[in-house]
Amino acid sequence: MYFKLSLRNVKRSIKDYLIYFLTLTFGVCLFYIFNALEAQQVMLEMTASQMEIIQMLSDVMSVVSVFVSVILCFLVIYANNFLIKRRKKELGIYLTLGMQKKTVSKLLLIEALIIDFFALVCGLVVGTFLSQALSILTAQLFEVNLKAFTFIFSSDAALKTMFYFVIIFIFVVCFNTYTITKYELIDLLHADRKNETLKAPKFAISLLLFLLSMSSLLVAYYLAFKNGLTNFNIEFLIAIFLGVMGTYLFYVSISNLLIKLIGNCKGLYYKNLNLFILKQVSSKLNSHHISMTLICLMLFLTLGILSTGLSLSKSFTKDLERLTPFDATFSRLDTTDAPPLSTSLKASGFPLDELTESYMDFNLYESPFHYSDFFTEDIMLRYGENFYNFREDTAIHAIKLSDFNQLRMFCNEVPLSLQAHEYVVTSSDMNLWPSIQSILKTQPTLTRRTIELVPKFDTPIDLSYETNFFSSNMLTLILPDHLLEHAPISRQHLNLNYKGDKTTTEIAFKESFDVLFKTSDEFFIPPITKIESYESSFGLSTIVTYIGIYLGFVFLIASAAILALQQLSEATDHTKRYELLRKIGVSKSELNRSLFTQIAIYFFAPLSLALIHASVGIAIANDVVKHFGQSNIAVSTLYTCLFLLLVYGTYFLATYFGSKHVITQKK
Amino acid sequence: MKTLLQVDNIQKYYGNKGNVTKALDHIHFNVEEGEFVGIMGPSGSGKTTLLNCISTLDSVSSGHIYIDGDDITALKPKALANFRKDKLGFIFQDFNLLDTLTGFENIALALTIRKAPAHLIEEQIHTLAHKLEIEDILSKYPYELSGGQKQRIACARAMITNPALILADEPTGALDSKSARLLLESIDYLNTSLGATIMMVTHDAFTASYASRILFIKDGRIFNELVRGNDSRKVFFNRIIEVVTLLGGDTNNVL
Repeated sequence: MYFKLSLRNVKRSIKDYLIYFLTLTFGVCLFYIFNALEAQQVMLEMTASQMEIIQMLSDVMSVVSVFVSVILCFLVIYANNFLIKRRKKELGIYLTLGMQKKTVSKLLLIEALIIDFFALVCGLVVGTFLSQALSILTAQLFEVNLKAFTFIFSSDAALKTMFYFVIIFIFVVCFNTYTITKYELIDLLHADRKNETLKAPKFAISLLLFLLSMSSLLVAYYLAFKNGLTNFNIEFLIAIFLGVMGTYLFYVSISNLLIKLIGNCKGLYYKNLNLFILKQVSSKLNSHHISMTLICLMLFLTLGILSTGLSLSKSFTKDLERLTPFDATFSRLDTTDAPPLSTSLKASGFPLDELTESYMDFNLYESPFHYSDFFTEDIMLRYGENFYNFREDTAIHAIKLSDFNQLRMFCNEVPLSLQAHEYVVTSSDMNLWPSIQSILKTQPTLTRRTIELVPKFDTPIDLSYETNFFSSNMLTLILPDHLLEHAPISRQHLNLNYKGDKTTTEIAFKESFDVLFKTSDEFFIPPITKIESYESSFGLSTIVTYIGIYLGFVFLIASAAILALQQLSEATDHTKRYELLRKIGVSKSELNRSLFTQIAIYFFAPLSLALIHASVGIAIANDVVKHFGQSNIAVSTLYTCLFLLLVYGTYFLATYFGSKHVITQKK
Repeated sequence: MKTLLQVDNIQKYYGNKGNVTKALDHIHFNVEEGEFVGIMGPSGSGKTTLLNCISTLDSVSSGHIYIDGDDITALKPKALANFRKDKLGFIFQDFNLLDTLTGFENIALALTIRKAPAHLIEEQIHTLAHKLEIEDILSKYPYELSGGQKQRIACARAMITNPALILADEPTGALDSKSARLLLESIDYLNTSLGATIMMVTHDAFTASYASRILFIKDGRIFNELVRGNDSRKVFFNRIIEVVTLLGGDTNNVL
C-alpha cells in the first residue's frame, strides 16, 4: 500500500528528483571508477614496480574515498532536505488525513530507497563503462601498452560502493525522520504562504564587516605568500582561518553593501526589473551566506587542486632526463675516512664489474665557504628557512676540479680548466638560477679569511652529478683541487652505467643489492636508478593527477549541485512572484531575462571570490611546483578553467531551464 | 461620457468535446469612464473568469472585449503584456506584494517596468502616498505590515501608472471589517477624487455597496443589474441584500 503511494510519488515528482538523482549517480559513478583502479590494471602490460604503484594508488584512493563519501553524504542530505521542503504541503496533507509521522517517514524512506536504488544501478553501469576509459588514460600516463582490451567489472569496487552508499542512505533516513518530527503540522500546510522575514542588518554594520573581511583576506593572502606551502606552521593555520573567516564575512556583508551602492545610483536602480532582481539576489545571499562560503571554498579547492595537481604531475616527469645522467647512483653520507664506494661494495661481495659497463667514484666536499659568503642577505632570508635550508653556518658543497673533469669524461664531454684563483658555480635547480646569475654579475668575489676567488663564468653550469628524481644539486661549487685537499668529505657517490640490456640488468642489480642490504649494514641508502626514478615519478604524478581529478570532480559537482538545488527550490517558492510580475505586464522575455540574470549572479557570486582565492593559491603553489621541476602552470590552469566551465556551465544551464520551466508551468 | 470598456457578447468554455463547462455565457455590458462597477455572484458563477478575460490573463472562446477602443481579444502575447502594463492596474485578494521589496519599492516596480524616468519615480510615489495616507509605511517590508496596510500599498501600486482601468479581485476578502472599511474608503477616493475607473469583483454586499453600479452574475449569465443613482449607501446596501437573497435563495431548488 505505502509502497504503491511512494512509487507514484516518485513518478509524479520525477523532475524534482532529477538533480538529486543526477548528483547521486555522479557520486556512485566517481566512487566506483576510482575504486576499481586496481582491477582495471589486468589489461595493462606492467612491470612489477608499476604494479606496486597501482597498488599504492588504489590504497590512496580508498583513503580519499572515505573523505569523498563524507562529502557526498552531506550533499545528499542537503539535496534531500530541499526535496522535503518542496513537498511540505503534501506531507501536511498526509498528516491531516491521520497518517502518523512515523508512517510519513516510512513513506519517504521508501521513496528514497527507490531513487537511491536506481541511482546506484545507473551510477554503477555508467561507472563501469567510464572506468574502461580511465584504464586507457592510465595506460597513457604509465606509457604502457594495453595487452588486450577486456571489459572489466570490479565486484570489489561495486561492493565497496554499495557499502558506502548504504551508510549514506542510513544517514539520510535518520535525518529525514528527524526533520519530519521537528515540523509542526500548521507550518507544513501553510508552507507556501509563509512570508519571508527580511532582517537586513544596519548599513554601518555591514560596512564594518566588509572592511573586516577585506582586511582579514589581505592578511591571509600575505601570510600565505610569506609562508609558501612548505611549512605548515601556526602562521599557515592562521592564514587558513583568516581566509575562511574573510570569505564568510564577505558573503555576510556584500549584499547589503550592493543594495546601498546600487540604490544610490537611481538611474540603474529604477530601470526595468533591476530593483526586483537586486532584492531577490540579495535576499538569497543574505539567507544563504553559509552555503555561499562553503561553495566558494570548495570551488577554490577545485581550482587549486586541479590546476596544481595536473601541472605538478607534468613537472615531475619533465626534468627527469636532465636529472638522471647515469643508470644508477650509490650514495653514502658522513664517510670521511671510508674507502671509495666501489671498493667497499666489491669488498662486500657486490658484483659491480659483472653488472656495469663503467662506473666512477665521486666525492662531494665541504668547501671553506659558507652560504652567507655567496648569497646576499635578502636571498638568504627569502630561501633560507623555506625549501633550501641555506643556513649561515653551513658550508657550501664543492667538487674538486679533477673530479668534475672525470665526470665530464665519463659523460663524453670536454674537460674544464680552472686557474688557482677561479671558481665555477653549478646548480641543477632552475629556480635558483636567476638569483645565482645576479650575484655572479654584481658581487662575484668569494672571500673567506685569506682565500679570495673570482668566478670563471658569469652564469652557473647545469650539473647533475648523481641520478635522482628531483633537482638534488641546489648549489655546488667547482674549486681548484688544492682548496679541497684537506676538506672533509660530505658525501660519496658511485655513478654507474649498466652492461647489456638495461631492463634485465636492472633486475639483477636490484637483486644483488637486496642480498647486500640483508648481509651488511654498511649500505643502508639504496641506490637510485634511472628506471626507478622514471617509474616513481610516473607513480607520484599519477597519484597526484588521480587525486586531483577525483577530488576536483567531487567538489565541483557538490558546489554546482547545491547551487542548482537552491535555485530550483527557490524558483518553486517564488512562482507567485513571477506570476504577479506577469500579471502587472512584464513580458515573458523580460521575465526570462530577469531569471537568467538572477541565476547568473547567484552562480557567479561564489565563483568570483573563489577565482581570486585560487589565483593567489596557484601563485603560491607555483613556487612549490617549480621546485620539483620546470613546468608551466598556465596550461593546466587553462584546462581546469575549461573543465570548470563545462561542469559549472552545464549545471547553470540546467538550473536556468529548470527554473524557467517551473515559473512558466502554472498559468 | 466615453465608454471605456465594452464587453461584447463573450463566451468562455472549459473542457473538451462531450464535457463542456460554460463559464461565461453571452455576457454583454459596457463600463463608462469614471465608473465604479461591482461584479457580484455566488462561488462558481464565473465572476473571476470574467475578470481574468478582461485583464487579458485568460482568453475568451468567442466575442470581443474593447478597452479604450482596442480589441484585446485580437492582441498577440507580447502586445498583451504591454497592454496590461500601460492600461491596467490590479488589486488582488491576497495582496500579491513582493516580499523582498519594501512598500515603496513595490509601488516603484510598476513604474520601472514601464521604463519611467528614474528622477520622476520618487516624486510621483510620494505624491500619491500622501493622498492615500500611506507615507509612514512606505519603507516597511510586507511582513511588517497588516493586511489592510498591504492592500493600500497594492492600491497605490495599481494607481501609480494612471491606468485606464483598475481591476480589483475580492480586495477585502482577506481583511477584517475595520481594515476593509479603510480600504474601501481608499478605493472610493481613487474613484471619486482621482477619477479612476474601477471594476471590482466581490461577493460581500457591504464591499459592493461602495460601487456606483453592480452587475450580478449567475451560472455565467448576467442575472441582474443595480444602479445606485442618488441612493445613500445604506439604501443601496439594502437593495443589494435583496438581490443577493433572491440570487442565493432560488426557491426552485429548495424542495
